[in-house]
Amino acid sequence: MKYLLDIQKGMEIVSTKKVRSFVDLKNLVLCFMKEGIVCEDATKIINSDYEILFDLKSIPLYQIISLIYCKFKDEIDELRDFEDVNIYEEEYLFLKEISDLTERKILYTFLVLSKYNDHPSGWIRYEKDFIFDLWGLKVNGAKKVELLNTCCKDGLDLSVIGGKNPIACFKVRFRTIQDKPFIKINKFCDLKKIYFELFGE
Amino acid sequence: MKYRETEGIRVDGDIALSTNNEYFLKGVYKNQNIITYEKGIAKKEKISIPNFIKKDLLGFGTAVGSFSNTATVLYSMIGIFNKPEQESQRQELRQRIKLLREYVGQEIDRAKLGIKKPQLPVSWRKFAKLDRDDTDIVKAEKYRHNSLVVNKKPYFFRYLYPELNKKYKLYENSYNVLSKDMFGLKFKKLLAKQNKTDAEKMLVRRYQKYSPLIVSDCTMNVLCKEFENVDFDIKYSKNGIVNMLPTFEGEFECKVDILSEFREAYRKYNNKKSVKVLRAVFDENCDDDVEKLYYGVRDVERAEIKEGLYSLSLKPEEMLFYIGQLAKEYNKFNWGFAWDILDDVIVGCIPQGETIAPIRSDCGDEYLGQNYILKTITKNSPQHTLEEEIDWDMDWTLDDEEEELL
Repeated sequence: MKYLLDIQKGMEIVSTKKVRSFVDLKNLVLCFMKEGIVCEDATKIINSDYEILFDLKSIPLYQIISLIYCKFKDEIDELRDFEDVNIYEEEYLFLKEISDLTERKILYTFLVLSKYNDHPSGWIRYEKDFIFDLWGLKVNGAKKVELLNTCCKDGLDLSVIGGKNPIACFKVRFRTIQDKPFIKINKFCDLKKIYFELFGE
Repeated sequence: MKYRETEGIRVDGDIALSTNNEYFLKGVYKNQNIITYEKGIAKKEKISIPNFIKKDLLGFGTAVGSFSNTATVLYSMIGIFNKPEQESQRQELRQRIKLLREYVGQEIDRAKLGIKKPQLPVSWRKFAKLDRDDTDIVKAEKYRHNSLVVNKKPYFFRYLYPELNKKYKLYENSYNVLSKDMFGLKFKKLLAKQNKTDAEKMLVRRYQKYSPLIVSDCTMNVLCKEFENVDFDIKYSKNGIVNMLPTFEGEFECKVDILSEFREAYRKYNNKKSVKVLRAVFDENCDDDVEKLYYGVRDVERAEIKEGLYSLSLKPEEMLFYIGQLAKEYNKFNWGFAWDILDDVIVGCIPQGETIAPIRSDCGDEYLGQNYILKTITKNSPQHTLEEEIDWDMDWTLDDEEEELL
């Protein structure tokens, strides 16, 4: 889902035609990759239609673009479109009870993430930075730890999974299945919109 | 002493040592029998090219390293079974170590004796699968068996195998992230914490159980930790003593505006923002290509800094003087700055030490049939000085017979 967010940011650059940093360039290129545009064409388009508003430090543009194509090819090829994610009433009620607004946002996103990356074991790769990035939460390290600490107490399990390739994973304790979904999220860009519809802020 | 009583010692450099050294005596396994076994006798064979090749081939792909590694693993596993009731496991591991002495011996002699490659018992490496229908006794036996299976390496092996170290670092890092987010503690602190909660104990147990390395208190692991403590705790001097470069103190006048140019350049030099941004772009996909890109960016930045400082038109010695003045403002100064900014020009600033070299000379000391004197080499010594005194009158041409042989 991390790449869906990057691509969404890339689409914003497509409309402004202004590339302000290396990260912007990466997001734009990921967006082109998702559209099936080949590396050479992407380079031509960026060269002709976009304003590069940062110092490339003498690195040729094509070199960075081709490196991004090379490094993220597998991730983008494997990237699934956002499929319907159902939120059930019980889950909604649980989240509604969380008084800390930031914690609620984090737990809500972990819930959606666990459903999008669904695995029978319930353990999903732990990507906390993506969540903070998605909500634009600018908190210092200590505050971040404090927030996640509270999330763990309230509804999140963490564990290292995998023998050969051990990775940090999370599991949402309040995740459930009911007959009828309370609300559906159809598009990645609706993830935040639905949250605000459900919880107001 | 008979050959057999000395564990196969021969007269080809092996040492039979008797000592009263207290450390040896303290560390030695006491009251142990010499491990010996019936060895085969080498079959007499004709000396011929095919036989040489045959014997050489037998010597390839030796498993000596693998067997001795297995014995090392077994030693480290003994430390896992440290409860009094686990004596039978300790006994079994010691027995396997003794057997490995024979395996290693046989493997060493394999080429000589022409015997088959010895194979370790499969059960030493293979886990027993638990079935639902297993009785408690069978289950207990299988648990015991599985606990003795050799499938991990001791902790100290991380410094022998870089891949293993990388894997272990990933593993440790994952636990560190979880420990911080779950309990607000670094994992190292959690490990040392007294009175752990149940959840904390659970995390530590999982870490120990699934660790890719055996973290028992075997002798080598203990030594390794000791080295880590000493090595990782080395504190480098903060008062500039580490710098061996001359700073030409008192030879130049320090101008405030120039010093502030150096201060700004040093700040830029230490600013790794661009590299950090690039790391953010490529996150986990960092490899040689990305590293090249990082270095490319850093080179450009350094070139810009250099250009700025060189535009001040200072002599290299004066630049070193200003860097020396700047260094006084910091507790820990990165002297790489001086080396990177001055580049190879810095060599000219370093005072010449005394360099002496042996030169062939009839009035010198004799060494392996030739006479040499030690001569001081100065910066201005022409390169051919050494050659001038060497006798190059030897006849290097081959005679007909030699040419024919070649």
